[in-house]
Amino acid sequence: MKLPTVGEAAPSGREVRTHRVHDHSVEIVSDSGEGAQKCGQIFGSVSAKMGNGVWTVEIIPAEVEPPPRNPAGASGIRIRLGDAEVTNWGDETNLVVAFNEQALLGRHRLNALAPDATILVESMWATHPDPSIRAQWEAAMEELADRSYRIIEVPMEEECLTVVDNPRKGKNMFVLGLLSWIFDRDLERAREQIAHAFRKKSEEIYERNVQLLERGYGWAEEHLDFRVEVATQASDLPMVVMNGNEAVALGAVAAGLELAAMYPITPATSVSHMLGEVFEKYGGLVHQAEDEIAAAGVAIGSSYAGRCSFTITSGPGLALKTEFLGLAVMAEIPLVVVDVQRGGPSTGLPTKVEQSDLLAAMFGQPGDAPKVIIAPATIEECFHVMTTARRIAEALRTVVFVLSDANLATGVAPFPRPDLSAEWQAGPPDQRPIPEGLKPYSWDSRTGISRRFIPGQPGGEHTLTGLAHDEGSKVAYDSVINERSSAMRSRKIAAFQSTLLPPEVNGDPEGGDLLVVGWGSTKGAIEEAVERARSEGLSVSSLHLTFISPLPPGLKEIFQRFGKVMTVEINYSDKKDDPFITEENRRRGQLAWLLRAATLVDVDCWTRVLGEPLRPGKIVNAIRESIRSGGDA
Amino acid sequence: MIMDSACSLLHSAHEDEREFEMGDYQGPVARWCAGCGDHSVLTSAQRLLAEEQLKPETTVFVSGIGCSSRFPHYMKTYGFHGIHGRALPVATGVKLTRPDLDVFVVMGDGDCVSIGAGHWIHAIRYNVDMVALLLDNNIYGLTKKQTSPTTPQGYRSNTQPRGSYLPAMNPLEATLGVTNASFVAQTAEWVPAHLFATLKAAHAHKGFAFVRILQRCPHFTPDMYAEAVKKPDIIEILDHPEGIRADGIDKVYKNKISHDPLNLNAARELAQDQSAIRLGLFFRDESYPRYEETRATNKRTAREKMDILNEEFDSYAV
Amino acid sequence: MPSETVSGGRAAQALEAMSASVESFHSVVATAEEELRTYSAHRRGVSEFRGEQALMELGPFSVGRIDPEKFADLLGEADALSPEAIHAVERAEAILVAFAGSDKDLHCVTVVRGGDLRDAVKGALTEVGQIFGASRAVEMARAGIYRPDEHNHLLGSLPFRQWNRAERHLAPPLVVEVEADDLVPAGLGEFLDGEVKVVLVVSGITAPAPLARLITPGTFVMQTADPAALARMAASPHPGVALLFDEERDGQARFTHDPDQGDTPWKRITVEHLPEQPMVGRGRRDPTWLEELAHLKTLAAPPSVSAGAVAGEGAEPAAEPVEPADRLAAWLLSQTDLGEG
Ligand SMILES: Cc1ncc(C[n+]2csc(CCOP(=O)(O)OP(=O)(O)O)c2C)c(N)n1
Ligand SMILES: [Mg+2]
Repeated sequence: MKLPTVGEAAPSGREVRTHRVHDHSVEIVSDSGEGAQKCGQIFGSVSAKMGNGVWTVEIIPAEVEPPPRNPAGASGIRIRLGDAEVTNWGDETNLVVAFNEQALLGRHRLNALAPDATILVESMWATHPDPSIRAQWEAAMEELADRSYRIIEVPMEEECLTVVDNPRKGKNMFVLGLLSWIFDRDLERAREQIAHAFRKKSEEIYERNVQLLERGYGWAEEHLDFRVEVATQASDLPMVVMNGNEAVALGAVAAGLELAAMYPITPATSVSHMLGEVFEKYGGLVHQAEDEIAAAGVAIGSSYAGRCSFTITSGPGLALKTEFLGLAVMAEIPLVVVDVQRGGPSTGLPTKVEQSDLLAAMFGQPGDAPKVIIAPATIEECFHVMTTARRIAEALRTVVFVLSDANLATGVAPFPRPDLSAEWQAGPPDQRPIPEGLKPYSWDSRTGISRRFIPGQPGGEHTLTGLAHDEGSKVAYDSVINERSSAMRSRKIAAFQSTLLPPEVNGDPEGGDLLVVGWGSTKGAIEEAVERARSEGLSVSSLHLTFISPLPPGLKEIFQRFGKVMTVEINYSDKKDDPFITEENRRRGQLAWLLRAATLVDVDCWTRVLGEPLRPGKIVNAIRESIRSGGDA
Repeated sequence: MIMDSACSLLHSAHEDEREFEMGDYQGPVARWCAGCGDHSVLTSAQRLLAEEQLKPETTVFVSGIGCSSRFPHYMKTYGFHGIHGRALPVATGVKLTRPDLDVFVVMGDGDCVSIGAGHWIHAIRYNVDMVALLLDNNIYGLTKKQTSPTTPQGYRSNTQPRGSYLPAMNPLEATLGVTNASFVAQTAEWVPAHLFATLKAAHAHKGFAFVRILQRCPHFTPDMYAEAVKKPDIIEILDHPEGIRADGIDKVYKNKISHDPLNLNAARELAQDQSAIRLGLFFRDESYPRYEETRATNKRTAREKMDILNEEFDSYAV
Repeated sequence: MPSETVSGGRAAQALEAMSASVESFHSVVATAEEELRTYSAHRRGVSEFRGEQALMELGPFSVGRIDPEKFADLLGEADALSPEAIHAVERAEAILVAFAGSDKDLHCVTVVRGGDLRDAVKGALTEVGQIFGASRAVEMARAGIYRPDEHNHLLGSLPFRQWNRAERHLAPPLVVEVEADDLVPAGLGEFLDGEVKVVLVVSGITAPAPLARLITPGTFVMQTADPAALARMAASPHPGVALLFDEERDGQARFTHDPDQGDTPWKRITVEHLPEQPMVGRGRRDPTWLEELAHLKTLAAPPSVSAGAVAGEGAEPAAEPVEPADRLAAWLLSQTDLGEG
């Protein structure tokens, strides 16, 4: 069998070289429907089980069934392996397996591949009977040749045909075999994982997939001349692996939420898919409403009736829920809103990550609508945040936002198996009679908090209203009442803020040249970048914010210890040297807006809206640049 | 034995032998205009609650925004005066969570037929057990005389001063056109006996009971139903042993036609035909699936949930 | 739970047939007990370990982010109970725990020879009433409206008379063993409310239809020799009373009156067996026995047949010759209003 390579001489007298690395990224790309994602998920799970740090993220084309062999239609998955915990998708891919050269080209054009990446590509297209396909292959190889990729052709189709009739349905397991050999994965674990992935299918399908796996493994063993070793560290901690949306769904169960009201929207929908599967056995209900407005209404009605319920959505849906969220704030109805952010405005980039809903969550409701906003930063936090969010929503009788994003939603990583507690759940609706004299908004004037009334409680009869109202929920015709009730709704947030602990500085708490501030899913990339920059000797630290409304205490004081403060976010900001941009008219990153207003510190920002998670390497560049330019914010 | 989260042994402690009179359901004095038809609906609802001995604490009136949506404030039950057009989703959430509560929804014609039209159509389809009252005065009252979808064509308003451009929408026709509609009736607030009998039938119905109540607005549309009030003969009463029969109206309302409320096609024809104002039960079928039943689940205690969740985690274990 | 002391095992069989209602009652008690235990643990947690409790409720995500002590302080003592209320909750909890934990037989009663059936049933229900009394005390205490002088009696036993509507629907079934001579069911009427179910396990020869006089439109009434048949009563959402004979005898009627079967007595009653003749001869005729049997027969037969009512057009032809007793019963029937109309 030939082993043609481009960009490097063919190995003579095959000698296998093993590369020992701390960290390695693999991509599997194909037309959609060829199972690249399943292959990657299994590979990721096997690697996690063997004790690697793993982060996987799906590469999703915008269309469901894009035309085949199209650079824009590349579908697949990236798996980043590490010898320690991996917290983000990394920079560029070191190893690519491509089912056709066009999908590969798509990734190349997006600069997803490292300049020295190794590429395993299906060879059948080079010799395809259709001359136009052969011509495309030629052109692609020419385009790829300007980098120093190492390209290895693999006869995937030919090999798979020895096992199955339709290789379209089998190449992925063959590729799993290739990767298993390259990374020296435990085949028994791979078989187990295949059995789990195809547990709903027949024994025969399992057998066939295992044969393909072994075929791939055998082929690689026989033909390839390199292996990659990422040291594993078996851990005693029991771990689970899932994506952020699954974590939110299970977190909702753990938090005792019993009603999820939603209208399908990418990338939030998979939470409801997941809950649709499992929620009923917990006594829960996923209500697919007629639109997002109704979804908010149903959740609010349910919360009002004594449970705390939640609604889940993404940008365009959040826009529709606005009026209802204002009502929930005004009438002090507990509600958890999960917003899995995507690119915007409008329909924007439905499948891609952005952190552009922060200000909409914060200020989106006309009128003054104070509320709590929490941004989980990891997949594990996507699980645990739900309990905390529910508890706060009920304790403060208010709306609590959980801002996730497409990066967390589709990223898969292992985390310690939660040690569940029944205390995370609320009891059944309080049906105790209301003592005489207590009113539906008997605000404690120190904290603004009042006891929640629930239908069924004798003596608590009243009409809740979105109109300005007094303690008795009577419509206010008196201007003083509106001032007081506005103050009470705001005071709850301030009172809650007094319970928050100051955030910890990652790096040097004493201070330094630069403090990078982030929020949400970028934590892993930012901290990795800070670590790299520090190892280059740069005086940089980072701070990650989880509570954004209210902001935790002590920020101003922390900021003052640094020469410069800069947020790093996935949302739009004007660059300082863009035409017309001045210090006054510059539109900054969304967290930067808030921090400047809250601390009066001249907070700079570095933001990108490339429709992909931030790459640590790019952040390192930004850090260097920021420190180089000094105080010139 | 009904068992759900809100009906445990501990909560049964509140059961008592109270007896309720109409006054027990009366909240503060209603602030509608004198002569507004909403007063009559309010009285009828209070009478119904007393007759059915519904407990004030387990009865919830949900409304949107409008003059008519002030309704819950004047009741001494639980009330939810939400936002314009969105009463039905809220009511749906209440009932899905607490099937033990009696839920009534009060909407104006702008509220239900215009801004809330999407929810209205779907609420009919969900068929959740509740009473939905459309107080139809053919105008936007609260915002002072703007055209509503049910405003007759040519009728002048502040937004369409040369007369409403479009033919009026017929809420009965629309409701009867929706799959799973299970109770559709029309009544008029100036025929209190019929109004009461209709509310009673709607409340007895298991499912989404939609009642359009023709309602006078003396302030903005004094002429709208003037003729119908003066000439009972232009009103046709739908009569049937299975339908709605009101005591003591026969002397005034002599114009009756027989209509079997199980006959959907006949109901649609009657709703469509505008030659008379028809009061009565157009359609009722209790055999239609109810969403809160289809979706009912066994409630779990916190500990049970955690046990199941632990098992769930096994399939994600590394 | 079937008790070992039950003679002949028929009571055990009866209990077995009623197991659905037995279990649902036990689960109601168990749920309440768990709810109360959780509540108490929570209350103690809140009052004694405020910070720890708040931390547990906020979950691991809050660690290092929220100060649980301060969070607990924010919420204040909104739910603080008075010492009397705490005392009441603790006593009530002890009562519920005792009931939920013991295999004490709540459902089985034996009327001692020569004893009073009504008193035995009343006593058993009063004992069950402790559970309801305790629940009420808890709710009042939690709501802050518990007054020891007014409400302490709730922590004793609660006679059926004082049960509310919901409690009457939650009532557990009772299986009462009684000798034929002591079977005086008339006094049971007052307990047949809500979903109370009483099974009378009788030994010896009884009157033909002693339960006929308990038939009212909304009461499930049954006479049978088959313990399995009782399951139907257990499933009924109405109050019910059943007589379980020790064997099938010609002289004892077997029938079921199920309120859900129609709007007239004859639709609701299914007769499995009716004695042709009363067991006694003319000389020893006992009018009560006959009355009951006649009552049952009339209720069970459509009026056109039993009363020989004017056979108008379309009326069903009388299937049997009209008996004088039926006439009497028809007259009696016409004097009472048993229909729901
Ligand atoms: C989102 C929104 N749009 C508009 C309004 C203004 N508004 C309040 S009530 C109403 C119409 C009321 O008419 P109808 O529903 O027929 O009730 P009526 O007052 O006649 O009883 C409008 C347009 C509002 N409150 N909210
Ligand atoms: Mg109107």
